[in-house]
Amino acid sequence: MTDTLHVERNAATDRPPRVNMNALGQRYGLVMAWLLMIVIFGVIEPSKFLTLNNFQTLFDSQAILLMLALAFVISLVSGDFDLAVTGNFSVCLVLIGRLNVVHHVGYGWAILAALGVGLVVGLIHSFLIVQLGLSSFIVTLGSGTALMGVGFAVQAQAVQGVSRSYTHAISMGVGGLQMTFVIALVLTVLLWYVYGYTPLGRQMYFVGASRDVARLAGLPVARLRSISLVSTGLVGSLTAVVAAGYLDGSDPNVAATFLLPVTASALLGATAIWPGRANPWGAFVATYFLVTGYTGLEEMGLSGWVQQVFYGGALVIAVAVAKLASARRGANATAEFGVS
Amino acid sequence: MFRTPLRTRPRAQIGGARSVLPALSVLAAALLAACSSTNASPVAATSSAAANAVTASGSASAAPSGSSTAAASAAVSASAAGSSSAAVSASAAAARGSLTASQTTELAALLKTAQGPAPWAAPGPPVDVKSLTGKKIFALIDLQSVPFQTTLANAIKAAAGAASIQVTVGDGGFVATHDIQLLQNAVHDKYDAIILGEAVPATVAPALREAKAAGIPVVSLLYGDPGAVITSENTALNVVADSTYCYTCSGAVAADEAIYATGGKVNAVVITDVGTELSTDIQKGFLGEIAKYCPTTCKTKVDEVQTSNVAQAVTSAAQVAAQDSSVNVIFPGVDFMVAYITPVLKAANADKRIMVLSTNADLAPMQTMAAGGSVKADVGNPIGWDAWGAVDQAYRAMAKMAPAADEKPPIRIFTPDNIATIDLTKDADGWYGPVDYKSEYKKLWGLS
Repeated sequence: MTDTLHVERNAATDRPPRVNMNALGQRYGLVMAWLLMIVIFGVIEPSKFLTLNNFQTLFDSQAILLMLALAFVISLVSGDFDLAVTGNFSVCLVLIGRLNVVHHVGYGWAILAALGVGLVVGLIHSFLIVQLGLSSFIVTLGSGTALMGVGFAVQAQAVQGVSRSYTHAISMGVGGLQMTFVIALVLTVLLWYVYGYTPLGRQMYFVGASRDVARLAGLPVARLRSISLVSTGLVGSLTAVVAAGYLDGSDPNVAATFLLPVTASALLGATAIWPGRANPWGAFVATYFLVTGYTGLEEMGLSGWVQQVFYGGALVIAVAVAKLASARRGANATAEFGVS
Repeated sequence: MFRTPLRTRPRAQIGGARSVLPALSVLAAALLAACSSTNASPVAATSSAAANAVTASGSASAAPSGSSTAAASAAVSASAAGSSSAAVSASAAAARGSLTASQTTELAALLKTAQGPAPWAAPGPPVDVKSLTGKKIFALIDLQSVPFQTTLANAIKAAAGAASIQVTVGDGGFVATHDIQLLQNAVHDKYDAIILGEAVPATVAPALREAKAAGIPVVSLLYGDPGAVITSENTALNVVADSTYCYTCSGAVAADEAIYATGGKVNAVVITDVGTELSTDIQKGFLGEIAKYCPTTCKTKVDEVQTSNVAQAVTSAAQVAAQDSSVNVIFPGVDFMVAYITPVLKAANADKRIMVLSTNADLAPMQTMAAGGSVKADVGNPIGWDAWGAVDQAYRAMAKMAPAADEKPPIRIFTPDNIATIDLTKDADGWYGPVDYKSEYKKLWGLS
């Protein structure tokens, strides 16, 4: 995404474009922090940290977390919170396990069923949040809990043995990395394109920035929010489809601990690339920044409470920095254009 | 997937639903207490202190609740253990309540054994650990900020350290993707054995498949009953051995205590954390004994709760049980749930009517018992022993020996009869008797 207004202004005054270091710092600060962290851990534990295997494992194993973070980003972009993303993921995952492993239903049908559930969850959220006007935070907090419970009702125990051909396809290597990571990367690129280069994506950002202004500007706010919530549900269920192949099974407990890392990644990602707004590349960088920190601390022998403090602290800092960045953009716009 | 009951134990926050009912119950209880000088039916009639009713150790129930553990222990002298035996002997020949004389005798004998100190039994032939010099073990023990998990991690380090074997203990925080990543790193770093602490192998299958391909044996720690984890699916993931204790037996012993104490008239609410193998085993053990000894005179109601909302769900289950005057037993499968139950019973003035039994013998419920609270039995196991057992299995696997079928870590039931014989201020390992399992393992490993 380019800073169009800034370039146009410079063109109007016939001055060569200036590089705004402040803006660059805001956009790529997290990336630089990530690289710095790699350097630091690489110096402290070179034999454990600076290995190809370590990075391959890091990227592959966290692909599921990244996909869930991207699902959460979709709802954040249009100004809603979908805290049911992990509950939706859980129920879809156990459904695949139940159908394919326990009842030997073909994995194609199991996948379709899971995607169907994701779609229904998204539609229900859309109805409750958009049509009835309920708080997305509260609705999805409740529905997420309910969905976790439904997951246990569907299949309380872990099962293993998803269709062999499917697990092979999901786990196959592509350029040294697994297909799961490639899928997550493709999803990141797709969302980046939609949000950065399509009217739909731009309109969703408008809605997320201010519903009232978007409505006055003639945008179909309700429809856009609905599309967002349904998409979140679908991406959550798609993540479950990938996870079932990756894990070769399902377990209703898997998603229980995902909510914090997912929200941390999505919210921390709002401080990078497109500062002040949740965005796919920001979520990508944030996910791997957090995991790199976690891994590095682990390899230094600092496990337990230190890791929890790191994760929780990163989330708090993320929210604070995103707020500051957002306020700064507003102040800059006011100073430059004399509008409030 | 993971040992969720154990990992959530340190969340000592007594959250849960704060309904108006407990507050009103407290007020009502205070008013009643002001008007009445006697309390409800004595514990002695409904707990294993039914045996104590015959002896002077009824003072176990009467120990002042504000007293320290040492004072409470002192209030119940060493004769408590003896009196329990005497009481058991005295009543053994007679039927108790709905139980027949033979059932009574059988249960008395079972409980007497279960209350006694833990014995040592070698799990298998000796292992020459000196031949394993240079090898290394990776152990996945999540949430090491939790005392239970810290104990496991430290015990593994001590067991490996005793043989000068390098060990790394990783913590994935119970996030599946983190656990998989750590295990995959262990495979890439060419560890010689993996100990999987409380994890369901299926959930970390991607990493275990790599371990299998690399020929790295996996030992499961505290999954469920001994041998339960050794299935064809898990064998395909290179899980070759386990170290754990008999959860089913724990539930069964707790049920024995309830049946004996109530004379075969248990009306129990069984609270189970769903989705974990160990909870299923504990529940199975408890219900199995009820079906065996009092299928028609005992009643049970199972409340399944999820770890994600255990505070609310357990509090709610306790409130419902407290309102039912026929309920005389609450059995939360793992005793981290006791913290949510005892305040509710106290507020509802049901702490004398309802006995709380559980398993795991965590410090807080044991202190409640020692202080004369509503916890009347807790079946424990020395988890350090389980951890040393896991390391023993890892040594056997690395030495290409056959795994031990069962590391035989013991269980012991603690009740007001024998709680005074242990020192709750000391390390929990010492609660299980004089056996020094660490020395025994060292002998088994040729280190002493």
